[in-house]
Amino acid sequence: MDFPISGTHINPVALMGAGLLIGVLGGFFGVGGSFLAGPALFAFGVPMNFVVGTDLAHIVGKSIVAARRHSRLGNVDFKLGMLMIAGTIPGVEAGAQGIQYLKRNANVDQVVALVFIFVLISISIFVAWESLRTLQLGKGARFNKAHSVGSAKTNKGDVSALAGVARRIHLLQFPPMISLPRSGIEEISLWAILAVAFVGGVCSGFLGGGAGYIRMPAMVYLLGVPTHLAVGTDLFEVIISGGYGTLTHALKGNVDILIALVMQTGAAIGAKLGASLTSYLHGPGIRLAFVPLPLLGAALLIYTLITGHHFG
Amino acid sequence: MLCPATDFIPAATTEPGQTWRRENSGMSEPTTKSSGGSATLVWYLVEMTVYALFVFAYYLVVLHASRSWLKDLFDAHKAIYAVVALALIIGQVVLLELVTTGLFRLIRGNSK
Repeated sequence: MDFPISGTHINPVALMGAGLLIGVLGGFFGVGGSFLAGPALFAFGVPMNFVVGTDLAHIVGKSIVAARRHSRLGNVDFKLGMLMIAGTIPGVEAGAQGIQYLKRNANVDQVVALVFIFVLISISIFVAWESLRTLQLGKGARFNKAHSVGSAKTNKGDVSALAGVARRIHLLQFPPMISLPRSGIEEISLWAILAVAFVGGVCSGFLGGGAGYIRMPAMVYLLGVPTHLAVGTDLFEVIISGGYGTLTHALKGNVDILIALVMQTGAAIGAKLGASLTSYLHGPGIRLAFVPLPLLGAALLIYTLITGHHFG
Repeated sequence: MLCPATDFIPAATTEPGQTWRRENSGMSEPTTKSSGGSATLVWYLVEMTVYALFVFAYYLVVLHASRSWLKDLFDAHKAIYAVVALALIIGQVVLLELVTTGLFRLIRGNSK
């Protein structure tokens, strides 16, 4: 099928299949799925500026379904999500302006792909290291108490080897200080939340998608939000950031909505299945299972960059 | 399937003291490697097939027909295109969610 807006030709069945797979994985891990959707679109031959904008549009739709499901399971901290929006939207705009700059002055395909590869590999290595360390460090009560994420009421037994980092961030006294009882955080500086949200927004605007691959780990490791709440809250956040990102990228001519619509038909059902699966796995288990996915996306980008071969 | 088998979870990744929370999940019993599991798989395939047919029809009617209109809008009116693009993706999600939920209930109701 021809997609005249981006000037590409893609098999719609392949596009729907990719959407389904991304929907399942995204719904399960609480990330929008752009760590695979972006590389997949690039591998289908979509120009990188359209990959970024179209992925954002696709992620908005998918996240609405998944966030609704997580909300029903009580996995969304709405207060935290609303606060993060204030940092995310400027970040998304900064990222979108970066894409515009590259469109005018450089090879946007190669630059964005290389940054994407670096981010995906870094995240995989970091999450693998942290999850393995958490699982190896100990399973005793002392470890669980010292490294629990969030409060005893909210964490569902979630532990992290880096829980101490979040605790140190909680001690930073840069007013205004915010309380997040839903996430079991007694006090945290608003600036810490905004900083995490801004970085996530920049990644979203520059690399496409919801950037949950960076926001979710940051929420767990830096803000100390329990993993299951980080998953749901991230999806809620992606609806807002993705909505804004879609508008700003569409205005800049970077969104092929037809591709997003076809892909979304597969993702709708996939997200439903994926969100259900999170009831079976918690904490480091979810994080460890996440590790190979960004690597898969990076491998797809490297293959497409080197060979120039397009699928679909 | 909305009631995935626990076999799919690698043993090494489950945490000590972590048990499946059926009461929180709002889902049905996990399937086992039995005839019940096979029946579940069959209904899952039926659901997927019906959904695929629906999506194919939707693709032919709506997406194919709106292609040139959207391209014209993209070329001539970026601001309107941006709003329409967002409205389309949200509208499609809401529509598909309603249809898939209704479809699942209908098929599962019939299977029982």
